[in-house]
Amino acid sequence: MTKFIITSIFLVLQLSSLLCQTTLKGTIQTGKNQPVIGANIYFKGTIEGTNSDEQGNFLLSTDLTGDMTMVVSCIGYKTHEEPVKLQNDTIELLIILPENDVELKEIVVYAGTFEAGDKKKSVVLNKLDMATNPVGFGDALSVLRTLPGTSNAGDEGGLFVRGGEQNETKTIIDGLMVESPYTAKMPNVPVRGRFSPMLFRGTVFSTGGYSAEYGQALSSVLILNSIDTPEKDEAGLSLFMSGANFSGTRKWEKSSLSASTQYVNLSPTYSNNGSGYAKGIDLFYRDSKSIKNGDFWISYSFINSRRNYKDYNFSHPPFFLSTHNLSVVYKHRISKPDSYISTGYEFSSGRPYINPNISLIEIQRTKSYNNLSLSIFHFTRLFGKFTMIYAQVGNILGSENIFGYRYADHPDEYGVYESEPVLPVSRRSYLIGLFVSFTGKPEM
Amino acid sequence: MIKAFLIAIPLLISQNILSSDTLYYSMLRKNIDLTYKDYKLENYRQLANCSERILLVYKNEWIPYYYRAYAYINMAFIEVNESNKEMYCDKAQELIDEAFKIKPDESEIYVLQSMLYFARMSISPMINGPLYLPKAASALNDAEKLDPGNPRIYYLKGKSTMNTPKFFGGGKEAAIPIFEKALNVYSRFKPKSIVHPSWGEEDALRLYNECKAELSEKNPDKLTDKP
Repeated sequence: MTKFIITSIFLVLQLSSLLCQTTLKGTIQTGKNQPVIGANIYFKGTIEGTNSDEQGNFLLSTDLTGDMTMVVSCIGYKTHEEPVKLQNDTIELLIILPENDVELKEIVVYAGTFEAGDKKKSVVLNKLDMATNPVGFGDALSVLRTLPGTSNAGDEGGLFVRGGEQNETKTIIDGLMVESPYTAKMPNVPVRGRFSPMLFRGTVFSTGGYSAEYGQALSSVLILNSIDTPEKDEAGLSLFMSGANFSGTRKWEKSSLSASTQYVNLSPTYSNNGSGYAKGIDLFYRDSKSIKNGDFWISYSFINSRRNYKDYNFSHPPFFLSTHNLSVVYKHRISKPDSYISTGYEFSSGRPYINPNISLIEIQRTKSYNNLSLSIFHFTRLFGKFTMIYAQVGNILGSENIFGYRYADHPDEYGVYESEPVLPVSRRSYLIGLFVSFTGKPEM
Repeated sequence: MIKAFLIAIPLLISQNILSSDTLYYSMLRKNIDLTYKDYKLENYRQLANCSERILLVYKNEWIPYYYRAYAYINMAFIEVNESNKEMYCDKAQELIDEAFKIKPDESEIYVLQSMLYFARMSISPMINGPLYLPKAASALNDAEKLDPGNPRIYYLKGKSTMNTPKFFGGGKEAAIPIFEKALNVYSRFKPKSIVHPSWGEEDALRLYNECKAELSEKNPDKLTDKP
């Protein structure tokens, strides 16, 4: 008899847990009515729970009773808590999970506008894109010319954004403003950025509105973030036909110092009491999926700007500004041997200039600028060091590109101002280069 | 009668304690088995969720942290979308850090850390390879120092060697002795419980056979010397 009672107590206890069940069923959705797949639905403080299916639906039966908190969590979303009263019935729920703010850390060039807190960014180019770009000749800042909103000023180099000059784009590296990001300027020789594209892993380029933090910038902001703190001492050597650049990074426990052997002092000291405006449209398209091993982007920008500054006599478009700018870049990856072939085409409509022989208050335009370039990059190892060998040909078609005209200050005896066109250093350019990354020890 | 109750009460209590423990173990084991059966995103998602629920209750155990990280790392390998891959890797790193706080000298967590670096490398290998390969190798060395009897160390070493170009001292042929060592250690390995890490043996064998097959294609004579 005793045994019977005990057994029945056990049975009742076990049965009660089977009979008294609450069922929760429902759907988990994003704010845009899309199902959240694989969300974790459970009661706080217990390990009882389930997952949402491909349609965002879930079904959870429990023998728990009373007031409980149901938690819905899913990676990439904010966690939601819902108080539920469990009393042996069925509860139906529709839960909206807000998405987490996406914060991209490791990726590399962002273009677009800043939103509050610079949280939302769209990825455009990465480090390798910068290094292997046929247009930029391995120069980090020139590569950005293939992004919309920029002007192609082949005679001066550097970054010209929306009617602004190079020095009106503020370059910020790891939170510090760089006063002179470019090499020293020589007449008609394009300047280059002083920093290796391999140095950066996070680059933000904004041609749109930007936060008050960057108040000094006139036309745009370029934010570069170097590779956290480098893992070890690094040294880089670039060799190209016209010169060499050596840069090194020394790492200490908590800090690092990067240096490169080029001294530049660009301190523009003209007064600027002018006025001006710029308006335009940017289009950008990138596709790295449709073509196998291929990756291309097309960028177009229309910029209309008038300024009255420097020694301008009246308000007109700045001399470096083309109204229409188009660039197309295509890269193809070859796995054996490990290489990239890339080709780029740049088109810019004619640039403004003033011909004093015609009128001092009228703008003339040069013919349009065309540049088709091709480059081959091969990755290898030399003495255990990561090495990039590259060969580039600029302006394959040999188009005659004129950036503008330079006129004599005074007319000659016939009353004519003599002129000469401003041309690229050479019509067709060739570059063969080697990039070696020296590190503390071989990495393989 | 009283005697009977005295027996019944401890029985009831012990049943409750046991059932909560076995519930966690068997629930986790069931989800681990699911991932062994099919290498599918969905299965790893279930394992991640199940481990999440367990670790919120059993706060001082490293195993639930381990499996949640393990699930996200595998999801990072399966996933194609790069920003999702990155999200899974970041989450896995957080969990590994937590697991290390609970058990700093656990060889298995070092193995998992190394696996996470390999997952990071799968996102733009040209850039991340040089950055993470040395870290992955050093995590495996740390794991080996703590427990040379952990077979997963040699499985991952073999896999990494196999995928390294021959030019840099890798390749399938070079991976064979490492996989042999892995299989040898696997044969002697006994997990401490049903939920302690025990994965990798089948994959090690599969990759070992793959390496062997290529070698026999290239040098049919070379193999006949070996037993």
